[in-house]
Parts: sequence; structure tokens; C-alpha cells
Amino acid sequence: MLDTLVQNMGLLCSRHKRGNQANTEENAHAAEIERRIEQETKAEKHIQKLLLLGAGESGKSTIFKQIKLLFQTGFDERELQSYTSVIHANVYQTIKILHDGAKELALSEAGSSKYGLSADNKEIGEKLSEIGGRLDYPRLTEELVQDIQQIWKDPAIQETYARGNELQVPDCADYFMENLQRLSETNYIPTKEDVLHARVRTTGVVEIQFSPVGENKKSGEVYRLFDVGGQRNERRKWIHLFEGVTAVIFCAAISEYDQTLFEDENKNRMMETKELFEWVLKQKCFEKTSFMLFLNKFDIFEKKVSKVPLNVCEWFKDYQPVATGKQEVEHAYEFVKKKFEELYYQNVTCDHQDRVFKIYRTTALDQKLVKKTFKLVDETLRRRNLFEAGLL
Amino acid sequence: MGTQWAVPYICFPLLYIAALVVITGAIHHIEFKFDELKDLWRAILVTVFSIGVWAVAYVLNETHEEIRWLQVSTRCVLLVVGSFLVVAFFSVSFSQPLVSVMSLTKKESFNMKTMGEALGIPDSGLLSQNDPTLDVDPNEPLDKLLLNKRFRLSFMQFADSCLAGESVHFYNEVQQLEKIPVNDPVKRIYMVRHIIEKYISTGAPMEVNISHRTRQEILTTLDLAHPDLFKNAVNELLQLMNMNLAKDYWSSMYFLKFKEEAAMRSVDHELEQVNGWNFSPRLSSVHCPDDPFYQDHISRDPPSHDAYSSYSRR
Repeated sequence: MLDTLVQNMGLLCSRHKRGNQANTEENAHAAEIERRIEQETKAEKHIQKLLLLGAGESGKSTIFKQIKLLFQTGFDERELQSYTSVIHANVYQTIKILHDGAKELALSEAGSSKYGLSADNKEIGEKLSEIGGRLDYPRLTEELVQDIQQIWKDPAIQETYARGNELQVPDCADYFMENLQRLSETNYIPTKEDVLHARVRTTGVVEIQFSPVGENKKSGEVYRLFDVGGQRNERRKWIHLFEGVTAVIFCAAISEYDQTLFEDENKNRMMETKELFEWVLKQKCFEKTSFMLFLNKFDIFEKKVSKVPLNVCEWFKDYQPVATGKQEVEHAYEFVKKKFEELYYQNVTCDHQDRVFKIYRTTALDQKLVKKTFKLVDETLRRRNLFEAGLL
Repeated sequence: MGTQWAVPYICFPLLYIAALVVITGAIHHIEFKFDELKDLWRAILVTVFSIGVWAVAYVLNETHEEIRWLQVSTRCVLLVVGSFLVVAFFSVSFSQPLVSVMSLTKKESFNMKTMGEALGIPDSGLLSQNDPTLDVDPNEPLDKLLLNKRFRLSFMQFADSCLAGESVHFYNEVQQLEKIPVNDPVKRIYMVRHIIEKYISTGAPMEVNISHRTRQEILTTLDLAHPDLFKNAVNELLQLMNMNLAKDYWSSMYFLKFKEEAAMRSVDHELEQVNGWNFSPRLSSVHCPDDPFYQDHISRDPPSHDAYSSYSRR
């Protein structure tokens, strides 16, 4: 009898359960969501916010990609493949810029025939320029590569390329032209290197969360890094991100001292970077924010400095070259670094005295260097946190 | 009033018309873009007509002061002609700005949402129920996909959420411009000037990310009604969206929602649970409306709150 009773009770219970099943499930669901939100907000407090700022084409997104490669899962095959069209577009656009640039130079300097293409190449040039103006580019084929190589070797185009600083030739031009054959293979999958070189103008804001993991132990800090567009119109959006920032990573391409802005060709890029850096330093929200200045594109700077004197830029007018070769590069770099240092201290008032300011020499394409630099940044920020907590 | 005053009274308008005719004649050799000369002649004709009506009424009034019905009917005729002229004025497209200013000051409800609506471009408002849905294939080029209004709206919301909306908004308004027939240059120019002020000129409220050259080309153009005025800018921006936003869109909540809606529309079946979270690397912790970048408005939603709330609503 007891048995049946128990059975009945069991039945009752289960029936009751079935009736309420949907309800409880929903409740559990809601609770689970509640819990996750709470967890997230809790975790949020420990996340350090990093901003990548800087003018257009200063290498912010390249640093961003490096972080993805170094401290996250990197790029899977699909992502790599999605860069194929970007890289091909870079090639077509480069040729178009050079071809149209040569034509313009030939017109403006009617005296010299330096920029006149040979008759054969003219036709090819027109064809490629037409492709470069299209919306969707064809895949690079063996045939197109031959055309591109031929026109790339044309002395007029090379002469134009030498004056690339006056046009808006992307920095990746050289690299992709050297690797054309490989890019056109039918089963081509971009390499890590290719992806890092690919030029994409960022618009809006992109974010990534990462934690720098050392060889043997976790650093423990979690960072959220924001990448933004650098052109003038993009800068108005930065202000949305300015609250609660741990550190600003300011990228300045030191190789850009003889180039003009993409969005305003009457303005020297270095002068723009100078003004922009000043503006960022003066922001009220950044009173307690650390500043990491990345003097980026050192690889291009190194090559350029011996060819183009530093004092073509108004800001570096008082530069006097002292030596040649490697020594000169170092000297020039130190000069630029000093200029930025001076600029920083000119714009620091007593409100900002306890903020950290560090300058790093970087080449965003160099993975090892970026890794090293980020470890230093991480260390600096952790030390600063301890200091703030009164432990140091 | 004596009849000796009537002559100078009539002379004034005659002088006015004569002056108009002389000036128009003096500039008749200039080749105007939109046949302004023809408009001027037409305006003179209208002026002559209305002054004629007025003069006749005036003279009749003065000479037959004793006939009552004539007094009333001349005044009536004047009123009717006057109101016809007013109606005609407001129906011509060049009075549009005046109309919009008047309606703005009178009532908020008259406020047009977009320039397209203000100009009465067909189909320029927000979505209507019967817009076609489409099966989106991510491999199709973006410019084709954006032609679909439903997709464009979803894409626009996504772009707004990652603070890159201006490109899509610009594309949208250029599409509206395309809908204005080429033979209505006045309307086109209003739209073009609106687009330039909002998106192109330096420091514009929703300035787009285009090259110096393209911007200069647009700003220094001599023909605002040119059908290909924005072609280069649109190309550049489509390229930008393609390389930047498209990839992230396919993995965003907005695309999931879009797909869901499309599924709901085509078959009215119970939608399957989409267990998707926002995988897109675009903004999660910063949510702010992007219409045109309210700088003082930074809402601090908890992260991925959107994803959560839409999840729980199901």
C-alpha cells in the first residue's frame, strides 16, 4: 500500500512538473541570462581599454592585425581567403594611380618626355586603368600579371613611382609587385605576410579583446583594443570611445614626412600628425590616460631618409644631417623622437603629471618587434596599476 | 481722386514692364543652362497679363463709381486672379525651400524626415510592407545587394552601430537622386546641394571618407545636374564598405535578424531558434545612435546587451 502511495505521489509530482515545465524552463533561462550579464559586467571592470589613434595610414590597423595574430586565434583559412580580393584590388589600384599619375605629370611637365609611356604600354595602361576604376575587379590571371609586370617595368611608371609621395600610392605597392606571380596562382591563399601588407582604409570602429599570454605564464590582464579610421571625417567618431581609457596607443608614421594627406592633398601628413597628437593630448578625458607613442614604419623611414632629406617637412626644418649610412638613420630618428618628446611636454600641464608617456620605435609589419613592444606596454601598464593601488 | 492721377498710376507698371523687357533683351545673347531666358519671357507675359487685369479693373472702378455690381465684380476678379497666382507660385519647384521654411515654423508635424521626401521623390520614405524581400547570397557583389531596400536598411543599421553609417546614408540619398528625372534640373540641384552640404564639403555633419581628388571634383563642378557627379564618390565608398563592413556584417546580429525576417515573410512558419551571438568584431560596448554623430550622447549600455535582450525576447 505504501508502494502505491509513493507511486501516486510520484505521479502527482511528475504531473505537476509537466504542467510547470515550460514555465520553470523559461525562468531558468532568464536567470541564466541574468547571471551571464552580471558576470560580464563584473569582468568588464577588469578589462583595460586601449585605443589605437593616429592619422590615416599610420599603421593602426596593421598593429590591430598583429594583435589578432599574436594573442588571438589569428586568421583562419576563410579569413585569409577573404583578403584575396583586397590584395588584388590593391594591385589594380596601384597601377591605376601610377598610370593616371604618369599621364598627369607628362601634361604638367610638357618639356620632359620622362613620363611618356611607350606606345605598347599606353594601350595596356589604358586597359588596366579602366579595370582599376571598376567596382568589382577580375581575379588576377597569368595574362593580366604579364601586362601589369610589363607596365610596372616601364621607365615612365618607375619614374612616376619615384615621385609616389605626391600621389597616393599605398606603401604595399612594392611588396605586391614583387610577388605578382604568386598572387595570380589559381589556388592562391594569402599568407600572413600578405594580409599584413594589404591596405584597407578603416571606417568606423573595430574592437578586439585579448590577453597577452607569455611563453610560460599568463599575464592576467585583459585588454580591449579599439581600432578606428584615421581620416579627418573618421576622427569625429573617436570621441565616443574616449571614456575610461587606460592607454592610448598613438601611431605616427615617421616615414610620411614628405607625403600629403589622402583627404587633403594640400596638407603635409607629418604636420597633420603633429596637430592631431596635440589635440589628443589636450583632451580632458585623457588626464589620467597613459600614452604610448609608436613611431611606426621605421623600415620605410630607414630607406627614405638617405634619399629625401628630413628638412623637407616644415616641422623638421632645423634638421642638419651629420653623417651617412646607418649613423645618419639613427641621428634622424633621434631627431624625430626628440621633436615628439618636446611636443608632448609642451602640451602637458600639471593636471597630467602622473600619466605615463613612452615612445617606441616600431615597424608594424615586423611580428617579433610588435610582440616585444606589446610586452613592454603590458608591463608598463601593469606596473602603473600596482602603483595606483598603492602597492609600489 | 481726379482722373489726372490715373495716367501716372498706369504709367508706373508700364514702365516696370518696359524695364523688364529691356533687361531681358539685353541679356538674351547669354546662353543659360536651364533656359532661364524663356522663363523670364514667360514671367513678363504673366506680369503683363496681371497688370492688364488690374488696370482694366482700376479704370472701370474709377469711371463707373455709381454702378454697384461692377464695383463688386471687378474686385472679385482681382481676388481670383491673385489667388491663382499664389497657387501657381507654390506649385512651382523653386518655391520649395520657402514652403519648407514656412511649414517648419508653423508646425513640427510638417517637418520632412529626408530631403527626398521634401522634394517628393517617389519611394523615398522608409520601408513599406510590400517591398520585396530577397534571398541574400553573401557572394553577390554589395552594390547589387544594396539595391534592395530591405537589405539596405538592415545594412545601414549595422553600419550605424559601428559608427560607419555615413557611407550607407550617402549611398541611399544618391539612389534617391537617381530617381529624379534628368529633365527636372531644378529638383536635382536641390537634392545635389543637399547631399554636398551633408556629406561632401569639408566639416560636413556626415562627411564621408573619400579622396581629396574626388571631393575636389565634386566641389568645383560647373554642372550640378550632371548625372555622373557622384559616380566616383559612390564607387570609392562602395569599395570601402566592401572591404571593411561587408565581412563583419555577415557575422553580425543584424544579418541574422534580416535572415529571420526574410524567412518569416516568405513562409509564415514558426521561426527556428537562431542560436547566434554577435560574433562580429565590431562594437559591442559602445552604443550610440549615429544620426549625424551626436557627440554629447554616449550611452553606456552593458556589453552585448543587444544580443542578450533580443535573445531573451524570443
